[in-house]
This record gives sequence, C-alpha cells and structure tokens, in this order.
Amino acid sequence: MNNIRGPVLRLDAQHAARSWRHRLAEPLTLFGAAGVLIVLVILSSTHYLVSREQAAIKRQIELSIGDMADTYEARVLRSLREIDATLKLVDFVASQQRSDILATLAERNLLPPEVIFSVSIVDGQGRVKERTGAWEPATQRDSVPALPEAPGLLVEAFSSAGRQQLLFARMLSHGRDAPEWVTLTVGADYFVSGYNENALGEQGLLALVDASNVTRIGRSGTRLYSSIAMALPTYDEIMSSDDTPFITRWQDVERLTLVRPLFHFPLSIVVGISVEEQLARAYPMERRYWLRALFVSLAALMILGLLARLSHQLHRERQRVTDERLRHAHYIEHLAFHDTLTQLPNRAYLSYLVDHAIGRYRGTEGGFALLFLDLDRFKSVNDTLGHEAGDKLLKLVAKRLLSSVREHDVVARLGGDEFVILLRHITQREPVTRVTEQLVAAIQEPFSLQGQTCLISVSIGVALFPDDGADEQTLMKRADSAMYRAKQAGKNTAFHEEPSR
Amino acid sequence: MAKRLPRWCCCLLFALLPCTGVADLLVVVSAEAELTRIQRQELKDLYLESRTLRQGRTVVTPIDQSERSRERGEFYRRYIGKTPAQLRAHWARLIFTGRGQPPQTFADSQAVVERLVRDPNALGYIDARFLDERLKVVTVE
Repeated sequence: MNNIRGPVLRLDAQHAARSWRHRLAEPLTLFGAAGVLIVLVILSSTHYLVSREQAAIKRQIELSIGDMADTYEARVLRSLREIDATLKLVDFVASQQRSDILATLAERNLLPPEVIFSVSIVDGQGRVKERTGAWEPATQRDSVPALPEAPGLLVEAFSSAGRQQLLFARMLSHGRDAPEWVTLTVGADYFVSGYNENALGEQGLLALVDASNVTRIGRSGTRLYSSIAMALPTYDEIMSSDDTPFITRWQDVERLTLVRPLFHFPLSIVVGISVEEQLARAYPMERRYWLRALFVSLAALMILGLLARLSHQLHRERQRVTDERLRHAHYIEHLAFHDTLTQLPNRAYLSYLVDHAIGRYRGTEGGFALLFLDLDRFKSVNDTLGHEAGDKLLKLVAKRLLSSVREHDVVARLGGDEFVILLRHITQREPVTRVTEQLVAAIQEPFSLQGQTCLISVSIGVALFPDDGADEQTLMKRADSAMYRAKQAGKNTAFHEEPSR
Repeated sequence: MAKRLPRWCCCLLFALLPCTGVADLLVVVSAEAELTRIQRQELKDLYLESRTLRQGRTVVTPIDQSERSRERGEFYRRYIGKTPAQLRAHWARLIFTGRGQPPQTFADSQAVVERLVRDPNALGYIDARFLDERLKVVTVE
C-alpha cells in the first residue's frame, strides 16, 4: 500500500471504444488500405482502356471490311465488264470480216494488254483460228473445257501449268454454218492481285466464288487457293443479311467475312479479315499499357510506403513524447503524495487514505486504528550527529516501521519525526496493543549511525474508528493527544485515547 | 609463253562478251525526236509506268514488243531487271486496281521501227540489225 502512486484516476468507458477507431488511423492499416485501393483503381482503369481499345479495333474492322468490299466489288466488276466488252468487240468485228480479226483490233490497240490477257477465236473442235497473248491453248487442249453452245457470257475455270486460269467466252453471232467462240483467258490470280497486306493482313481473304460457293480463286497473304468449297451462307441469306459481316472459319482461320454477289455475273466476291490477327496488332500497345500501369502502381506504392514510414516515425515520436509526459506526470504525482526522504505517503495522501477508509468502514461492523508516532530524543540526535545522520535515522525508522506492520497497513510521515500508521480491519484495542508493543520494541533496538550506536525510542498515541471519532480531524486530534500523554508518561510507550473522554 | 596464253584467251573472251545473247539491243527514237539520252531509272519508270517522262512539252510514249520476241526478254533483263513472272504480277496489280496500262506491244523489231517513225514522241527498243537512218539511238546512262 505504501508503494502506490497516489489516488487512482479512473479511465472513462469511452476510452475503449475510441481505441479501435484509433487503430484504423494507424499508419499500417491506413496506408495499406490506400495502397490496395490505388492499385485496384489503376488496374481496373487499365483494363477498361485495353478493352475499349479492343472494341475500337473490332469496330474499325467492321467499318474497313465494308470499304474493302466496296473497292473490291468495283474493281472486279470493272474488270469483268472490260472483259465482256472485249468479247463483244471481237464478236462485232467478226461479223464484219472473216479473218485477221484480232490483228485488226491489235493494230488499233483495242485488245487488253497481252501480258495478262490472251484472246483467241476457237471453233467447235477446239481448233484455234486466231489468238494473241502468251498463253498457248493448243498444248493444253485437254484441260480446256468444252464450250457449250449458249448465248451470253460463259465463265469456266481450268488449270494450266499449275496456275488456275479463268476463261470467259462468247459464242460469235456471225451466223455462219460452224459455231465459233471468242475466248479470253486470264490467270485467276489477276482477280486477287489487289490484295493489300496493309489492310487485310497476312490472314485476310480475298476470293471470287461461283454460284455453288467454290472458290474460282482465293488469296490469303501470299497463298493462293482454287477450286476449294467455302462454307458460306446461301444466296438468300446473304441478300437478306443487309450487308452485315459474319464470322466464317476457312482453312483454320476465323474471319469476319462479307460476301457480295456480283450484279449480272454468276460470281460473288468474298472479303475476310482475321479478327485475331488485327487484335494481335494491338498487343504491343496493350502490353505497354499494362507495363505502365504496373510501373505507376509500383511508384504509388513506393510513395505510400515512404509516407507510411514517415507517418510511423511521427507516430512513434509522438508516442515517445506522450510517454515522457506521462512518466513526468506520474513522477509529479508521486512527489505530491509522498515524502521525498522516506518515500512514505505524506500528509495529503494520508488524509486521502483515511477519508477512503472512513468511507469504506462507515456503517459496517469493521473499523481501523490510527497510530500517531513521535520519536523521542530525535532532536538531540539531529543536533549531535548532524542533519545527514538525522535523515539516515528517519529512513531506518521508516524501514523498521514498515516491517513491523502488515502488508495492507499504511505508514505515513507527516514531517519531522512524526509518523502515522493506519491499521486496517481493527475493531478492538487488543491487537493494536500488540502492534504498538512491536513498534516500540523495533525502535528500541539500537541504530548504527556513522559508526556509532544510537538509541532512541518512540511515543505512540492510538485512536480507533469508529470508537474514538467519526472523521479524520477528530481521529487525528485524539491520536495526537494520546501520544502527548504517552510522552508525559515517560515516553517509549503507547497510549490509547481514553474512551471516557 | 605457256603462262601468257590463257591471259590472251581471257582478253578475247571479255571482248566477245557483249556479243552473247541478242546480237545487240538498242534503245531508239525517231530521228526527229529531241531525246538523245535517258537515265536508266527513267527508262525503268517509263516501262513500269511508275512515272511519266516528259521531253520538253510532250510525254514520251514507251513502245513494247510482244512476249514472243527475243528482244523483249533481253530488254527487261538488261534494263528493267524484272523476270516475266514479276512483270506479270506487277501489271496484274496495276491493271486490276486501275492504276495503269502496260505499253502498247508490237510483234517484232520491224513493227516497232514502223511505229517509231510515225511518232517522234515514241521510244522503243530494237535489235541493232533494224537500225536505219530514220531512227536515232538513245544513250542509256
């Protein structure tokens, strides 16, 4: 009981509730949450950007495939019309003259360039009457399809020296006895020579297909395909699709495809773009986005980490200052309630403890005893041996007093050579007398001061609560007067307050 | 002497080298034309129709020979540097996309000479045997 600091200050109930809220504001929690949030925001916005980029590319593909189909359709149609016009021109000249028909036209530069196109006039037996161009039909006699006796434009495909050829023919209308045809042969790859890798990529597709969806010629990158069936929607489906591209899978490549049947010709054009390939073009950019996001996240986390560290240091510094103040306050509190020399409770603390004890025992069966102690002959020790010896003696006395009472009893020093002892749980005088005898005996023992033996004694006055007084002042006064009587009675003894008074 | 003989032989072979293939190929215009010399690149551009060649106020018209003529193969090999397959691909793309038409072709050098004489703006190539006073040789640099 003598060790305690002083009156206990109670903590209010709100304190505990506040503490977990304070824990939220701790640097680690706060900055950790902020870091996770920032990284989430960065990553999700990057994901949004990337997906928007992909959507833009898909939209771009749908737009550009329409444009490319327009261009391709126009070019194929123009080529076919030029070819048909040539055939009609030959037919016209053939109706005017019997021989040198092609030579006449070539002289006037009216035939298509012979680098690409070869024109010939053949009879029913497949014999060539006239021809231009490098292609030699005579040597490929068996691979040239037999021409039907039908009016209008005929389109046939055959292979010559490993190259797919397209043959356009018209029956001559001169009305002579044997039927004759004018034919125009062109390498089928002519119709896909407009393949532009910048627009279509390496996996794109340009193709001419006939009415049964067999490729007359197809080109993807640098590869040429001929006479391969394609799984395309039917003519009716295409016509009712409102020119919307659809997904096809051909030669192991998935493509966004547009099919357009050609006006007046038994052919359709097919334009396809590999969506995957076009998306792959954006991969480097996407990777750049993700790398940037990662970099920014790391930078943000690093900055947060730095801030967290600073904040933590600040927090710790503040904690240290608070601790310091608290310790100081505790020290001050201790000083206020204790005697600096003996470290025993002082008068103020004693008065608090007595009050406290009165409050506790009032109205109960229990009580306590207040012992007023005054050392005899202390003044002469002080005078002869000096103040230092006096102080030393007081410390020794304090120690002996403490060891003579129970754990929960209080020994206080009022100042000078006056001590007060509070004995708890005392209702009768008998046990007090035992204690006072012990105390007197303890003080009677010789003290050893600066190599000299010193003999002192103590006079004790006793007052009991509630028998001798109901408040602190009365109790103290009674104990004090009892002590005086003990001194008058020859010191070195204890006197009880006379209950008769 | 035994060592000098091969060197002498080499000299003779080198001297005869230009005579191999077509006897001699000449780039010619009409004698009335102003054109006397042409850059190799200009000739290439002219025949591949990547760019027109202007001579004063007129445009030079290139004249080609038929694919069956020997001069044509020699001309494209020597001056243009393209194989027949490459040429076909080049013209297929240009014709199909509508960006150009190949030069007008004539059956042989004789037909080219006839054409050149009629038109001072035309330029063609012929075998040296067909050169006469109505034509002028153009130096290719």
